Amino acid sequence: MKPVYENPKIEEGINYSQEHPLKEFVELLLGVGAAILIALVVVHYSAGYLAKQIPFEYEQRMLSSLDLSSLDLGDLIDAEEDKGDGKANDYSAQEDFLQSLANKVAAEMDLPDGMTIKVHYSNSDTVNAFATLGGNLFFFKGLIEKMESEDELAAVMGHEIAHIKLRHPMVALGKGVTLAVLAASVSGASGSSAGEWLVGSSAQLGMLKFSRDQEKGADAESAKALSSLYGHIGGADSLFKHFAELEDSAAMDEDVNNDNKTKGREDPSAIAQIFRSHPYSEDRWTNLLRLAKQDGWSTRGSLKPLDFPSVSKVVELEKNGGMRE
Amino acid sequence: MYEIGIIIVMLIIGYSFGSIREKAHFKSIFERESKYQDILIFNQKTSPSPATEGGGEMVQGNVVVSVDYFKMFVSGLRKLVGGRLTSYESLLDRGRREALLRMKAQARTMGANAIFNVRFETSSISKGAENSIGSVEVLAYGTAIKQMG
Repeated sequence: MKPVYENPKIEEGINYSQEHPLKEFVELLLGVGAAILIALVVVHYSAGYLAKQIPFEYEQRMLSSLDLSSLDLGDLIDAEEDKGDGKANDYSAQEDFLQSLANKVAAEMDLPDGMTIKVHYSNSDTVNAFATLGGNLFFFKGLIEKMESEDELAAVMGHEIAHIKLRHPMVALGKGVTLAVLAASVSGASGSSAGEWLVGSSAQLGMLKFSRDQEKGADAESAKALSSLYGHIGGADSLFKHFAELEDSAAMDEDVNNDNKTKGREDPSAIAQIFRSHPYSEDRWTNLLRLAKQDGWSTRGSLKPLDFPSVSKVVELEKNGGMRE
Repeated sequence: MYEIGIIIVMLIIGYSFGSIREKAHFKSIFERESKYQDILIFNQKTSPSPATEGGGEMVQGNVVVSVDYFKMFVSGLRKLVGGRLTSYESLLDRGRREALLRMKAQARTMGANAIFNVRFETSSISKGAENSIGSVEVLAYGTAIKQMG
């Protein structure tokens, strides 16, 4: 019998899926998202715990190979300001002042053996101070100019030293490195940006939350030191009051500039908070007052005036061929 | 945080344009498949009945087609857990059918009514290079003849 040669019409949907593509997308996003979330939580806690077990000495040794003194952030910024005479400004008076305040505050903070604090000064207008690996603190001129008393500066100092004491820079490094490895593995396995994006964005939110918790922890340590150093925590109290006011006026400025009806600070919703690395000063202030009540710290007391060596004096000395190197 | 916004926008663009294109393509494939229904195709090497005139002519249909961002994203997630890569399945199905239709269109211009020894070649254009959208080339070819029913 002669075979029949024909091309009948074949039913659709055999070689491809007729399921709605969004269904698969949602299923995968939820499934993979949940798995990544679990992995992140595990990494977050284990890396945080393990990083604290690394002796502080190792942290310092790791940095010593970098020779931080030559990498000094202050020097880098000063070098830019240098008018081409090849010599950087000398801020040793400022650094000495900050260092002795740091030593005073650190003495009240019950630091573990072998933990030392080194303060660096930067003559930049940035309103900031930060703590980093190896017990190094950086203070910017912009921040110091905003301080109205020694107590306020000591409150900031205590806060930064607390970051060192609680090993926050090391914990952040540990978590950062582990998360980077996790993100790279997931992205390598998926061969696309999808996995990396999932890890990256959830880790980012996680890190912000983690950083806000750290700030609260550092505030508590700082207030404790302030109370034993000055007998009251008036410095921290006025610092937060001061910063809350600054934030309000900054929000107002933004409001005027953007002609925006919703004011930044007037909507302290959870969503707005989750995108910030620091909690709002007003919330930190409330937190501080709660702690003060709990631990019986006085928030009132006379504030010591700030006698920070001014930079212009140093520059004058330099012009007369004085302390220059 | 801006990255998330950019990716969401890319996903929406990819999904909306991609599904519009895919729907339109399938519609056109269905239409042309019935239009060329009378040209029969087989992978058998020779025709059982002799050609009415001349010998065989080589005909070919070639198509290059790409996935959209949305499909690439979904397949990236899929690759983490394994399973059917449905987003690429429909892409390849469209590619093969389109290549066959183009081959049939070529056969039609020759007045042929059957194609024997039909073969497919599929090759990846992107070769899995990172950050590139997956695209494939599908080539279908065969020997077109005019035969008695």
